[in-house]
Amino acid sequence: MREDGRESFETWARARQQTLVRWAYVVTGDYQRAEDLVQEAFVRAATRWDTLRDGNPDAWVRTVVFRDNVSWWRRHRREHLTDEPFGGVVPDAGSEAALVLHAALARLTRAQRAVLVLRYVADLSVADTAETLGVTDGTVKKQASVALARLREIAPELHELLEEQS
Amino acid sequence: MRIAELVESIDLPPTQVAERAWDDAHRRVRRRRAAVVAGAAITVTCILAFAVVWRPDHTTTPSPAPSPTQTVEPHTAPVVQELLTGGRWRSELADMDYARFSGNLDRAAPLSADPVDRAVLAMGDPDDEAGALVLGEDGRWRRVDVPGLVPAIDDETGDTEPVLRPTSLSPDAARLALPQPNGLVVVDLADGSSRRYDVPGPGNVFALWADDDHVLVAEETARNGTLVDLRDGSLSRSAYGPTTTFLRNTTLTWGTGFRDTALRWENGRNVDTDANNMGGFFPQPPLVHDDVVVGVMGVVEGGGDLPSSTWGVVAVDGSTGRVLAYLPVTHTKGTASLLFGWDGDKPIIGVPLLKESSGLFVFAWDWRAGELEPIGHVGDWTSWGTGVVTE
Repeated sequence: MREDGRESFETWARARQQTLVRWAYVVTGDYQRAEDLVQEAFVRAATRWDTLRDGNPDAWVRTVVFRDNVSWWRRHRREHLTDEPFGGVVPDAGSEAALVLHAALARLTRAQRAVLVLRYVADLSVADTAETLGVTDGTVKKQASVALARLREIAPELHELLEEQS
Repeated sequence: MRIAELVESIDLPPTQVAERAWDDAHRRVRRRRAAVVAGAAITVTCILAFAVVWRPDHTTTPSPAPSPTQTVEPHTAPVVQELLTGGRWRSELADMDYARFSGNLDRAAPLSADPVDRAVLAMGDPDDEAGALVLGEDGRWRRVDVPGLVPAIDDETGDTEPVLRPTSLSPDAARLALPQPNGLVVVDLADGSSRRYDVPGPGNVFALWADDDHVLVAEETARNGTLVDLRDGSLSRSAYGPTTTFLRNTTLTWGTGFRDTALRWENGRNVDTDANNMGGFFPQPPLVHDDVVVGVMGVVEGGGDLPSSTWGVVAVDGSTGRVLAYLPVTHTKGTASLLFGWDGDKPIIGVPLLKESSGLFVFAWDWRAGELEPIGHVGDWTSWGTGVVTE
């Protein structure tokens, strides 16, 4: 871990932190834990920055964030639904549609939210989403399908939006 | 507008997580190197309190039939308790009798070889995610051994869940209902025998006792379940789902959802309330006793008398829907409380309080007085029975 990497690391991390925390927040529903996940991923990225900087640190840290979240969830196991209020921070949704989406996402499973975020927010391909989450392409397709169907059911107000994503 | 744009429009506070990452990483690397040089290994084991004999100072009773026409004593405003946090309760939690529910797990005998008449509780095996343990009234644990039992279920949404559910124990705590892919297994604790029933549904993850002879089985994503007649194995489609409490002469459904604020009694009687039974991540039936209904609530927006942006346990009047009391609980693990049963007229709840501790801390909640009585510590997956340790 060479000190001359600090500047490039911090420049890179500052540019990504808000987006990563936002994604993690949407998946976890817990702002504090979203920050914890991203911070831990950054710390681990920093310890290997010498090699990571010349590769694809974005993909690497994204994978760490999402897989760490899965690992955390498996350890604690009690998260199955979904209706958990979104964390210690209640976002200012900004629009009625965003408010509806926010409430609807809270009723999906964490796995479903992770797939939605990676596929439709991070705009990753099925293959890249699968690689990030450590699952098969088929699982990603199925999760995305189930998640969109569930959103249609619980948030019919988002009909046009969901049709667009199908 | 796409989902991405909507997500972007959610206003979150600016984060600073990048600021200390480099220095933290530097310290972490230094510590690792120091550890290698020192070659030191330190193991600290802390075991707290070991009263082997549990002399219960409370008894649990199954929920009696409610009388929806009665009302509890009037309150002008809900009792809102101080936030329940691990820090505030740290000393009490340290003194808690951990051995009450978790001692001697290693010596658990197979249930088939050492059956029990009635369970104090059933709990997921902390050393074996797929295993289930039953604590008998003699204070000894048994390992549930059922040939061919699928120990965990893919709920069809990508999550895997153990088959021991918080609702698995029968009202008399003498049988266990374990959902299975396309099936249900009911274990008779008195002799260790089991019977499998075919119930369509590869993702069956819920099993609730409707009465002594019927179990409701439901999938994660289903609104309604299938009622299994344990006498002949016949099935019938049910109007009820996993958020229904079956009482002696009625049912109460209190569903999940921010805006699902109706207590739906049988025969179409709805009682509007300002509270909800969101259940955190886990939909569960409310507790009902003498027309007091208890649920796991999230206060997301416009909490009125209740602190917004919190979640916790709520008690409402089942006849009027009026919120009687609210116990906000910290959000340290991103998980929710479980509703276990009753200690007299006090609901028994399990809450995850300390980040560093797995499992749930169990309290009897005196919502009228706004007080909590610590009971014990149990695993994340626990089904509360009616037995008491007597030996």
